Amino acid sequence: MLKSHKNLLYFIFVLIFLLSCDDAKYELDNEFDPENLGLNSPTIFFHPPEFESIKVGESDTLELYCYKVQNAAGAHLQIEFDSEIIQIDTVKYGDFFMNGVNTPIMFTDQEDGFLNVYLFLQPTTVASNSSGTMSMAKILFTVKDEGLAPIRYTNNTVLRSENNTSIFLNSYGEGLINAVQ
Amino acid sequence: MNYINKILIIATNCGLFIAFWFLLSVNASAAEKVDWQDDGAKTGKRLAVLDFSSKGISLPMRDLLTEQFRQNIKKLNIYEVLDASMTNQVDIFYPGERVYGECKSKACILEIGKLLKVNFVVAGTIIEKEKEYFIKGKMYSIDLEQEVQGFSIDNVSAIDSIRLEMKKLSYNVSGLEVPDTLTLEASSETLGYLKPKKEKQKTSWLRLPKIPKKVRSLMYSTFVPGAGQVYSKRSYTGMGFFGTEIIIGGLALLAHSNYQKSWGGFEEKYTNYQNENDPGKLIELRPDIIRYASDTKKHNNFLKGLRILGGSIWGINMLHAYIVAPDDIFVNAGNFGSVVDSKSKPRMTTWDLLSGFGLRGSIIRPIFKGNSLSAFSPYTDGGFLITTPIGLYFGSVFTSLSYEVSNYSFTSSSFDDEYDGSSNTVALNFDLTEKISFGGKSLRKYSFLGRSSYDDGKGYVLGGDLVYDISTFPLSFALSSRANLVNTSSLGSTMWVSLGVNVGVKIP
Repeated sequence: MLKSHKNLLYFIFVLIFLLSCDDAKYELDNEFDPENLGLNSPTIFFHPPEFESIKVGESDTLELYCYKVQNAAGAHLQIEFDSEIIQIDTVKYGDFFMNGVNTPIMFTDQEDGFLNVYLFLQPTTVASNSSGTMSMAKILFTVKDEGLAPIRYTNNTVLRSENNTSIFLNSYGEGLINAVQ
Repeated sequence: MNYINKILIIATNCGLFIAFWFLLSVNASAAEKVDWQDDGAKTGKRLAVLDFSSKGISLPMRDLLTEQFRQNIKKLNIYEVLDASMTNQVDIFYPGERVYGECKSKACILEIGKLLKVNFVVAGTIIEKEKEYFIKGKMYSIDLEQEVQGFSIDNVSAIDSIRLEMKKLSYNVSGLEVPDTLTLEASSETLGYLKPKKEKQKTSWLRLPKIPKKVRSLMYSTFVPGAGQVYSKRSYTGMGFFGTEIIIGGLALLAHSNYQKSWGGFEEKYTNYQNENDPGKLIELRPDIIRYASDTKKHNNFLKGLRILGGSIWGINMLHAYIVAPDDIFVNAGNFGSVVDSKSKPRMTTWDLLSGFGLRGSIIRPIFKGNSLSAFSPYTDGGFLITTPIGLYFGSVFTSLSYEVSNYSFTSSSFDDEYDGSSNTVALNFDLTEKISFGGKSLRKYSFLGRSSYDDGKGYVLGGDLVYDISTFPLSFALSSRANLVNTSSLGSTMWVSLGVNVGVKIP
């Protein structure tokens, strides 16, 4: 009799002292998280940074991202690529220089493995610059030949404020496209 | 969330304050307290009138007659008569009684007298037989351990006559002459009491072994906090325990609801984070995840604190229920240790070994912090303190060894950094009650000095406790302060000062 009561006591104590809610356990290890790319903000990078294998003839999209950039009103993004392996098909603007309903002004040119993307934010009465981590532009490309094609921003790349002063950027991110047959 | 946290903390403090105040007032209540240290013992005139046993009359009638007899003696101011509530707090099962639980033999009556710490005990019987009443009784001297006076009233035919005769009897017992003017007092009492209720003879299909009252009280309080106290006629204390647990339970429900909200938010954001591949959105999700995780931790810590507090009070309630329940003599109560067999030799029990040790559960919150923690916000955490009787006297200051475990948690305002862990402190407790007269001896004053081991460093803890001891049982409530001086590997040298409340029990 007494033993069963003792067991009951132990059971109640277990209920009181051991049952608990879980603490939230998490790891912020998403491979696309800029915090996990080893970048020093503010900077710009490619997303995704690496295409592991794209077959010749296939197309894909590479995004030109800015990371914790402040008060940018325009950008000249010069990208160097291997034109024997990669063919740039189209460039589209991203969300970074969108200003409400106003789309950014954008024009591009490419020559001898260099792509120039010029982006300008259209100011409104309430906003004349943009800040944050967002896509500035999207490059649609096609793989022409097999091989490793590094892709990088050149030193001519610059972001400017609404006063036309250049915005300091830390070392840029690099990209790599692995084209296979 | 911080606002909700403040409300919870205020509510917790209010709850504890109410419980604290309640128990203080309960302690002050004479009806609840049996003051065995009463000065009356010095006069040698303390007298207890045991409930008369009866045959043929109803129990309410018996109680009424006993109480009137008790009051009559009291009014004569010869003896200091114990109230019924005090007298009935002692209930023993003495061997050799014909009816289990009755106390008619001389030895049993003397035993009760000793437990009640009175000098005299009056015990008797009221019998109704063919509409005639007979009263027999004896007065025992506990000091002399013998009968000093016997009395009887025979063949009384009306209940009012019994009352008159018992009034006369009170003069006899007090050693006074019965005044001639003593006449029959008008009575408005209903004579319907005379008819004894025929107790239904229930068929007992299942006979359970008799459970000692202490164990029964413990069982009741184990299931429902305070129930054992109510069973042991300590209703206010029982209600206090029950109410305190209800308040803690309510706070826990509130905290759990907040926890659930935070947990829901955390799960949603974290799932999105794991599945998302847009760096911009991932960057936005990061602080949300950290904030929700921090919130769940904060609410969970608060829940843990409440659980420690609730569990401690529940445990204290069980212990208290066991202590205040009436003794059953000659009942083997297993390991509980305090039940005394008067014929057996004294032996060391578990209780004796644990005597002097104490446990306090606490809720504590930093209120001041050093420069290296200035960017962090503190949270309310829980902990516990084990006090020991191991110590030395330095003059009038008793210095004892104690061990404290206390959690701490700080989070940066952007929720992206946190500093938390637990400290294990071996400390010396200096009892300064004799040195500081403020608050009297019920309010014990301790200073605290210890060496601590933290999750990422070592340091010292200084502090003080103001402990209010509930005199009728080994429960205490305390306000405590701690200054933590820590040399950490992550923040360097730092410090914080915490204030807390705790509730504890000390094994008498």
